Amino acid sequence: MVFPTLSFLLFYLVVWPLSWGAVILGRHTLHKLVIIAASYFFYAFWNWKLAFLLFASVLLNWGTGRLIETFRGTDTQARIVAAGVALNLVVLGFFKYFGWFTEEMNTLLRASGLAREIPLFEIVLPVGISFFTFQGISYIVDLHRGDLDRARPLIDVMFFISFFPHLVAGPIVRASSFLPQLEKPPNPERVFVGLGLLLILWGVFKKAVVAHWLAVHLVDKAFFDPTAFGTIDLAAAVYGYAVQIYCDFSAYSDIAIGVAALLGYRFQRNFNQPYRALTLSDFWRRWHMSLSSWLRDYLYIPLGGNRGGGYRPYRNLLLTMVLGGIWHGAAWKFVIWGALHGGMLGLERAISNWRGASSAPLPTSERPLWRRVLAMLAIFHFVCFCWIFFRADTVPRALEMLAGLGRFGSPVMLITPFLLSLIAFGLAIQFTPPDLLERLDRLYQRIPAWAVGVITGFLLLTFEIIGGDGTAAFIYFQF
Amino acid sequence: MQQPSEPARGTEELEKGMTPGRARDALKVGLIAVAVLLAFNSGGLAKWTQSLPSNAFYVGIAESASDWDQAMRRVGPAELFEALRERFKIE
Repeated sequence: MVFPTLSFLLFYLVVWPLSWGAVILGRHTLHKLVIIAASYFFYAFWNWKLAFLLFASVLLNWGTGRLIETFRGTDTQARIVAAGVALNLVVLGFFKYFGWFTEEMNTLLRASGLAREIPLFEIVLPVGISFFTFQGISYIVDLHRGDLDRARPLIDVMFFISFFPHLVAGPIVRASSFLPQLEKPPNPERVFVGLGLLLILWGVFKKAVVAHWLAVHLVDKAFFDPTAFGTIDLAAAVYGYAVQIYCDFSAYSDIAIGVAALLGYRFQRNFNQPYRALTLSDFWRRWHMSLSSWLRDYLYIPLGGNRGGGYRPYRNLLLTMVLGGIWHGAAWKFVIWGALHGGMLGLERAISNWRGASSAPLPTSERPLWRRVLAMLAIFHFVCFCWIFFRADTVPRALEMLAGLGRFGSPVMLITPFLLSLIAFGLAIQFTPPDLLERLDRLYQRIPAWAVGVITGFLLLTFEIIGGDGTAAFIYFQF
Repeated sequence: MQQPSEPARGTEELEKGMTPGRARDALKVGLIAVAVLLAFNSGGLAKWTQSLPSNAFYVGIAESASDWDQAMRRVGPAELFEALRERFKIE
């Protein structure tokens, strides 16, 4: 079930009144059960058998939480945490990396002249496993660190890990920020309706119109066979992909945040105009914020973070980003993507240390305009360069793409004024005023509910007209 | 990477300056929006019901959706929507 589809709309039309109905009747537990049942139905829509895996993940983390509570303050506590995290990673590793590992091992065995091969199994990658595994780890670690005051009952852990808006593609919600929301039922007199509606409409537009058009008519064609196109088409495809992945992924996050807000729940914000970043570390403060802060708190800092001096912070940065790359999938292209980002973050840090400045960028107002523009262009192009590896099916295909970027003089075959305007739009929205949502909310408050309903209906119809038939799956579903 | 001291940002940040409303306002908005969609994009609903599994229950739903689509075509909104879709189809 994909967000901007009729199936999801009908699903939400049933779940929304049932969930609020239970709240209004004062049945908090029933409300939670409605959401949990809806979430399992939502997940089983892809493959009902994998709903058992989701439940097993919930049981694992709930059980680990109970054990942490029982052995709190003893030496055993750390061992339980380590075992819980390791089990989560083993499950993730098996489903996500076992096939890749056996293929790579067999290649190695063949190259060394050994006839015996490791048998390959057809393993289905469960949708959203990377997201719900990280959330499970967050529950264990937050409890261990004391960020979460106590272990939660099974029903709350099920709600937290399985909640359908974030289940398959995030944002990665922290246990310490979400579970306290389950202490009391949501307040039906205090729902951020304007915020929810605006985020949903904005998300549907970005996905169904911008990302869809760029994917189908430019990016997919160029990346399918880069040898067939020249510099201009391929450069447009790279810029197009930068806009597509932003509009696709931020759309999913916006819709998820909006859908949860209408049910009375809060998620972490996931994007904040990333392509206006002046440094790469600034980019990572703005892009997939829930993953980057997760990697920081649960990987980079436990590895030692900035402590230790010498080469250690650089090693930690590189390791964190390479593992962040592999989190996206079992492929060398993601290793390269992560290593490029980790390497550049290390370089930024080294330059910053060499200058004797802090790693945080200077306040924008203190930099001359030309320097800000240059820095922004440099970071944007570095990110685009890395996207080539991220998007290409394989590393050789990415290299073909890079070679093709130097194929000057080839005729332009893919670009149209409409596609160019979509790329320009996708870049322009990086510079909208920070209080735009607030201004739109004020406008929404002045319009009667029936008129908002009519406007919402007609906006969705307009997106359908422009977007064309069908909506491709979100990019982050594959992770 | 983000600095360790930086707290995780949530929708509290987005909600700053926003005005909360009542759940029933959202219900009103949702029902009217869906009514508009069902009137104008009845073809989409009919098409979707045809993709459902073929058993007596779903066949009944598909027939009702098809009747609804025919009615909306006779009255006009579905025809108008299809015409606009064709008119603004970007090749």
